[in-house]
Amino acid sequence: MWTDTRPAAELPRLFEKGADVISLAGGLPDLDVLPLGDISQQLARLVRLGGKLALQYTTPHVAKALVPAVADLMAREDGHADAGNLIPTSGSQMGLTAVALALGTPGDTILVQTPAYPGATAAFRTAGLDLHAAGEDADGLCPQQLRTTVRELRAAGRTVRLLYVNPTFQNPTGATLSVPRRAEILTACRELDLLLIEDNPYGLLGFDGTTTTLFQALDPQQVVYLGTFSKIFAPGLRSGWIAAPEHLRYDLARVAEIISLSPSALAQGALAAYYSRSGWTELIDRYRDSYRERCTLMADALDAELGADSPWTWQRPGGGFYLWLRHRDGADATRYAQAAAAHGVSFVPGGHFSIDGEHNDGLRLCFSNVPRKKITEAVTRLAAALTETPAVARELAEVSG
Amino acid sequence: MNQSQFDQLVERICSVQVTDSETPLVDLGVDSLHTIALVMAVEEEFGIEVDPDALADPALASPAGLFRYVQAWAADAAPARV
Repeated sequence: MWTDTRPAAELPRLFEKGADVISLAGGLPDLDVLPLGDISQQLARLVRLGGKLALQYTTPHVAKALVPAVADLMAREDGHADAGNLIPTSGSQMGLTAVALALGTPGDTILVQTPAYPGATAAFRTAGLDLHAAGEDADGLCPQQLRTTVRELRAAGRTVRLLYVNPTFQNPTGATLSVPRRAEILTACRELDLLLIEDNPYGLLGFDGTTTTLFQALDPQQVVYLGTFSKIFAPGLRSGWIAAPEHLRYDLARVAEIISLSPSALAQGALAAYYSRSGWTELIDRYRDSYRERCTLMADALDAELGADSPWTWQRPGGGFYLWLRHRDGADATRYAQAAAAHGVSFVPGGHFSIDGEHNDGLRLCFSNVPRKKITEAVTRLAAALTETPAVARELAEVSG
Repeated sequence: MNQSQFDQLVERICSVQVTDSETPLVDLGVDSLHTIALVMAVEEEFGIEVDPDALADPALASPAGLFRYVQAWAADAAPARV
């Protein structure tokens, strides 16, 4: 299989846990906030009353019953959804693959905001696309650099039609692009005839409830939006959506149907029933509270353990799942990963988020699923690994085998 | 609860406008999965258990028909509660 020749398309094994290791690696939501008793009763009702429907194949559409639930979520960030612009996915990972297959041609170049979610870059590579970093300045993805990069690539004979961004509480940095910057980027996209792929799993997880207007809200014709229920409900239902401009809807729907045949009617029914009964506000607030608390615990522990003199720097995010540390002198975080494992903690080295070997000076800590009582201990272990000199770190890693 | 209040429940759960209680749900724009979600909400609201086979009865497939079913269930169940 030709994708076997591209090892970078493999996803890191983030969700595995060792017996004595506190994982700060995988981006799992905190499902303790789910009202499992209520969901259990609803699933039982759904199967009893509509099992022959919910367990059957269905049509490749976002069910009418689910459209108001999607529209509600998108409206919270000023976005727009209706039955006519939605395509069902089994989560944004499928959405990324569908977008790459439907809107790209093998050999095309896709511009990517980096550091980038490895699942996205893997999906793009698997679809045969070449990746190129979109330039950044102090305010994030830079429209002027975008213009320069696209013109240079096109002058070199490359086809460039797509720009991928994860604009709110970005994985892995936690950064959010401002609305004025989004508008400037969209102006550049229109000039350059670039479609913007907006991947937004974390946008509603601002710790204080703050939301940021979607690219899709600013220009629905220039944006293909990827939404998911994985972070505001649960990833186990494998359910999400693409909100697409009308002229792209057919191509995206056709590829989505090829990938999955149809969405899960059971998952769509469960989500629709939950939304009809409870709405989203209470559950999203519970997620926000959980992540605010965990992030504060982790950032406070980092302040206490690493201190202001540390070569590792970070900013407290306003939402999402992640803290992004960078080494002032550019040390390779991979060199500390084994030492961290020897101390009983894991993280994702920044190189996992690169498209061409960059970002090795970064590391991602995920606070969303660490038990609260283990966060301080995890950071103590991490600090012990990070404050060792690389030579000691290497020796420790070798001893630990 | 009267029919008008029941229609409001249908409107809230199904995101449609009930212009006539006797209009079939499908003609109001309520598809099959949404009908299930509605019946789930009705069960919870009224503390009843709807017979899944009864859902195939066209007589139930309107806000008025579903409300008659709920009332009949309540009438049947009432003596048992005394």
